[in-house]
Amino acid sequence: MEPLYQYAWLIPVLPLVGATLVGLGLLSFNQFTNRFRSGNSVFIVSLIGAAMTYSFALLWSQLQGHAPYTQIIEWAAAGTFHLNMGYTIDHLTALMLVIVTTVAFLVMVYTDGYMAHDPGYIRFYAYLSLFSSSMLGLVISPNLVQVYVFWELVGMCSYLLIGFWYDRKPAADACQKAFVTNRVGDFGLLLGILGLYWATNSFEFDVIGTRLQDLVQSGSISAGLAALFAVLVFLGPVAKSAQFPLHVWLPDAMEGPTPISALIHAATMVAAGVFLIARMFPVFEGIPIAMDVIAWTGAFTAFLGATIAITQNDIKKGLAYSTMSQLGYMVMAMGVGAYTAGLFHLMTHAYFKAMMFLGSGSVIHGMEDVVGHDPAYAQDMRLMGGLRKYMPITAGTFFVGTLAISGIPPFAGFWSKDEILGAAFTANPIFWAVGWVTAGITAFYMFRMYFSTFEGSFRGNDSAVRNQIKAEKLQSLGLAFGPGAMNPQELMVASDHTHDDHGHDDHDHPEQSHSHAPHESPLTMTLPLLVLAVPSALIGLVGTPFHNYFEEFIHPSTEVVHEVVELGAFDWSEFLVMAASSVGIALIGITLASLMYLTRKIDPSAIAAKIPALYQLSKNKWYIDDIYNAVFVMGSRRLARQVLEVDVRIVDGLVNLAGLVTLVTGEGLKYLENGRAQFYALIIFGAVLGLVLISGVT
Amino acid sequence: MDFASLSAQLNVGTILPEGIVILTLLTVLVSDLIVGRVSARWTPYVAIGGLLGSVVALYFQWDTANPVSFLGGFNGDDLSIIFRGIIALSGAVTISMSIRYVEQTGTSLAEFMTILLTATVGGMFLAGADELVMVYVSLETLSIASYLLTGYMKRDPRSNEAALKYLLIGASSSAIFLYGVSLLYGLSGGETRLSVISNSILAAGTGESVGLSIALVFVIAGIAFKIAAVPFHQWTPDVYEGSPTPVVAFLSVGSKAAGFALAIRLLVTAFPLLSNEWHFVFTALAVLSMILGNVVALTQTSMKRMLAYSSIAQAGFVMIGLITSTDEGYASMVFYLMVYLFMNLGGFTCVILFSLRTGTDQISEYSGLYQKDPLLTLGLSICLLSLGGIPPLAGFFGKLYLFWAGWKAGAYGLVLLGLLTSVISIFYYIRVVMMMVVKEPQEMSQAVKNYPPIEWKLEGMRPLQVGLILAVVATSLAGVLSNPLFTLANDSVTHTPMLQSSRLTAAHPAIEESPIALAAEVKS
Repeated sequence: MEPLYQYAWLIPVLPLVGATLVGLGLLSFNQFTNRFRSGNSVFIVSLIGAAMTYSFALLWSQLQGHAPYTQIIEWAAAGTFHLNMGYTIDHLTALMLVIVTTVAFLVMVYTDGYMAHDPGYIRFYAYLSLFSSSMLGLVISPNLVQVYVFWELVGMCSYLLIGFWYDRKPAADACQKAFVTNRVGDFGLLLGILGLYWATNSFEFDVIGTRLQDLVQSGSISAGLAALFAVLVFLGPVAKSAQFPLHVWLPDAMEGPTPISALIHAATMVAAGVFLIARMFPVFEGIPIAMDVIAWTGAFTAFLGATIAITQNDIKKGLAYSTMSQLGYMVMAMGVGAYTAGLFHLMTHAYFKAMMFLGSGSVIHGMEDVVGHDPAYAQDMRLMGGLRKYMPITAGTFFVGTLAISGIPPFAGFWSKDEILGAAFTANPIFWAVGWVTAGITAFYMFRMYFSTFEGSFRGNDSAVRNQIKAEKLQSLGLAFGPGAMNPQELMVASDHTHDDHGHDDHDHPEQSHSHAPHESPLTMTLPLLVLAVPSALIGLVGTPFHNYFEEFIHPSTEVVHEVVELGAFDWSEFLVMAASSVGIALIGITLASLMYLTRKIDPSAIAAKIPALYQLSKNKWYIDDIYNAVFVMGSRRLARQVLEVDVRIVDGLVNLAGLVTLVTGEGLKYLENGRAQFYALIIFGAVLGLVLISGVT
Repeated sequence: MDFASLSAQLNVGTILPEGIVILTLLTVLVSDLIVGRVSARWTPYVAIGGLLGSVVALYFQWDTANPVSFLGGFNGDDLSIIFRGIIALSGAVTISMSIRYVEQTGTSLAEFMTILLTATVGGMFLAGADELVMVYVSLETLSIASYLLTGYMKRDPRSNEAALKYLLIGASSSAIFLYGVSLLYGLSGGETRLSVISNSILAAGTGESVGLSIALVFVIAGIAFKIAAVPFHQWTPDVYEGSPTPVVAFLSVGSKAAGFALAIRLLVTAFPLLSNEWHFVFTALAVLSMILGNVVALTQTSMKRMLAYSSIAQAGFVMIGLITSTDEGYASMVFYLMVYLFMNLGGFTCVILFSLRTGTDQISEYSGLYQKDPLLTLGLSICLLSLGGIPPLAGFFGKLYLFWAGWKAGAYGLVLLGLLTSVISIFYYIRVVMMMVVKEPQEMSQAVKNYPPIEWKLEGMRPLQVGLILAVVATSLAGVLSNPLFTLANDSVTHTPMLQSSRLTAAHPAIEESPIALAAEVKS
């Protein structure tokens, strides 16, 4: 078995090779490379396929009980300071490798259909491959430094991919927003890593945990400081996993192409935060304050995301808020010590959410034929409806995902969510209550999404709705401020420009090709959906409370002492009560949704009109974006203006002075550089004489 | 006494690498004489192969048990091996970039390579020379070959002028050096071997005399001329402007490395008694080089001249390592020179490529190059950013190590000045990168607008391309994967007996005082 592990570094290297080759090809032989679209994509997909096969082999070997394997090389050393790089394969890693590679593989297959008409097809594959490589590197990292390196790399890939259609202003703004928001979190993470290194002199997860415990117990470090470091590290996951208060980038990130939303912003990168918490569990576990912060953040985010998702009309934004809410669940699970439950939910969520995003992409792809290539129309659920008739596979798989996320047994989401709720109840009933209510809201908004997209009658040709959307769009453009624009006039020009051009590839689809009914997507797109539907439905069965294979597998490798779920004998009555209550509230949510959006017995707008405050709160995302805009964006602009003043008055003065000095020096030196060899020789002799005199004197 | 025992006694094996280069040189020369110009099709590859073969031979001599050969005239210790390797490699890369260049100017390639190989041999011998006569002879071999190279473009009056100036100033500095060496010879009572000179001086009781410090300054003047330290840099702008670009590349890397090797060996073994003084003098040279090199580079409009001044400044940075005189200091010097080899030669290769395609090397002509030639833009950007010390490129780690070593040894003033001047340097490096990358298509320069289609099939373009790609890859990876180079640099210092013994004697008190005092002087 050893060679299997010795070459495990191939898993991240394979996609990297693909990205490098194709990237270099694009850079140096652009036209040549662009001619071989399918050749390039097949090359990259087969590389990730190889990585996937390898990951499955590793998982199989780990399932057989192979010991964890770590391979370290020294990357840099200076004195006593050693920086190691390498990889570690244990149960957690093997599991994550399989999740990441399968989702990445399926998303890449899907991309072939989704991006078929895009001029940046190959560039997209190169980015995708680079991202997969970074994500896999992150997963196998044995220490915090390497985690940080890959953490930044996935962040960079996410930036590149959100802004993939950089000529669309919202996409360009969204990628900047994601980048800046993540910077806040990453800076905290970096401070945390450095702080922990300062305290414990180590970058290894386990070593930090034990040493920190010892230090706190022996009193050489105050518990407050240890908690501060832990919370700083947690800031990294807060940004990456879109937890409150750094969640604002995730919904905007939906400006990126849909395969990206599925891969990066639903299944893998955003889960990296949860993964990091899992890795850092030995550290967090011993610091109750940190655990509380984590749990509360998670619980609040879960609730916040769900409440915002209720009123979203954009199908991808709705899914984005739902992702945020589900990530909140996972973080909350980590915070209450339910390590396995959190990871279990990570896995199930990765599959069903990736599938739903891909499904939404399929819907958008179908809608684009009817309403044109403008995301504002193609993604709006008010224009959809009745799509089940036109795209049965998409509808069927989406329905499976909806059932899974709503927590209906025996679909995957039920088992993992139930495990989290059970653990939360043991830790603190408030968490349970929040999670429970959120589960109800989740079922409601997911079925609202399903019903308004796939059931009822098709509204795509309804011009009244279109006009309404257009009005909203113009209004939001007038109000929105891009982070990059300092000058309001420049902004107006830019926005005028934006709604003049419609979408990225209009020229590929001339207006006259619009049809009146959407169509089912090609096989490359529906096949991944079908494949993903299987784990979405069934993967939960590995973690049933009466026989939890998943926990047995994940638990021992990390040596985490947690007794929350580990109760020995299984208690049927407790399980039934918990399960019944969560299924109950889910059913209530579903019923409400069907009354409002399927049979239209209740008019949702009437309810909205009754509680305008709450409706506006949800619709405006709790005004968090506006608050940030007022405080941070405007604040920093004010600061920037003041700094500009300083710059103009003082710094420019200094620069001009330096320029003057250089000019004078240059003029002076001109007389020394006069090109006459005898004069040069004179300078040499003079310098020698001077040096003799000076060194003689000293 | 038969030949075998004689060669065993002289320990001839240590100069095998030089032997290989000389053999290559003869092969190139003779085949050019016999076959004629047709031989230019394959002789460059023979020359490159010979130089690489010499590097391989050097590798096998690493940690050799008995490095001293020719009755003490030559010392093949690890430090010399590293420097000889750097010089041989720079020769190889220079040849790879000069094939097309020389062909295009219509002069004979074989003679050019012969002279360049002679210069390389001179430099390699200089890096290991352990005896005054040997030092002088190899120094002159290097210098005279350099004069010839400078004037190689006989039809170009600028090249002639540069060669003449270089010769005259070189001769005067060489005379000063020779005078210093002769003083040393006299003061030590007739010793020529570096390793015994200091003991003899101590025994003769002439250690405190003014004569010794005059000898020191004279010797340093000779060395400073080679490494182009301010104020002995006067020749550089004229020479760099006038000589063929590949020659400039060799002078700025190979010749400089040889100068540094000589500086370490001569100062550490022959002048331990005056360690305060030579540290002081070198601090002055370093300070002046860093300031003047960087400030004047700012105002240059020609790429070649900008690189010339930047190489003066780079030498100033390297001197920090020499001044600290600790193991880390020397190791950081070696490391930086290794990195510098790739980034500077890579940069020069790009400049040559650009001038081959457009016939100009004005900085303003580079604007908008990205649109036409992404590979060249990428290579030049990486090399320039690395020279400026932008992470994660190799140059950043090199500078980091130099400054760290300097800081640790207490040379705070020098390190701060180094940091400050690197900031200045980033400005003029990035200006070129910006010029190439961010310009809009309509701002493209005339030269770039008329850019010829990219063609690698011409005679001599392949080696240039290979050299460029290797240098760029090394520049981008040598920083992140620096450990092998780093270990190599450290080992070369710790395995060299001369540095180990000197460190224990007089070097230490010097570093604590002089740099700070001088930095204070400079600021006031």
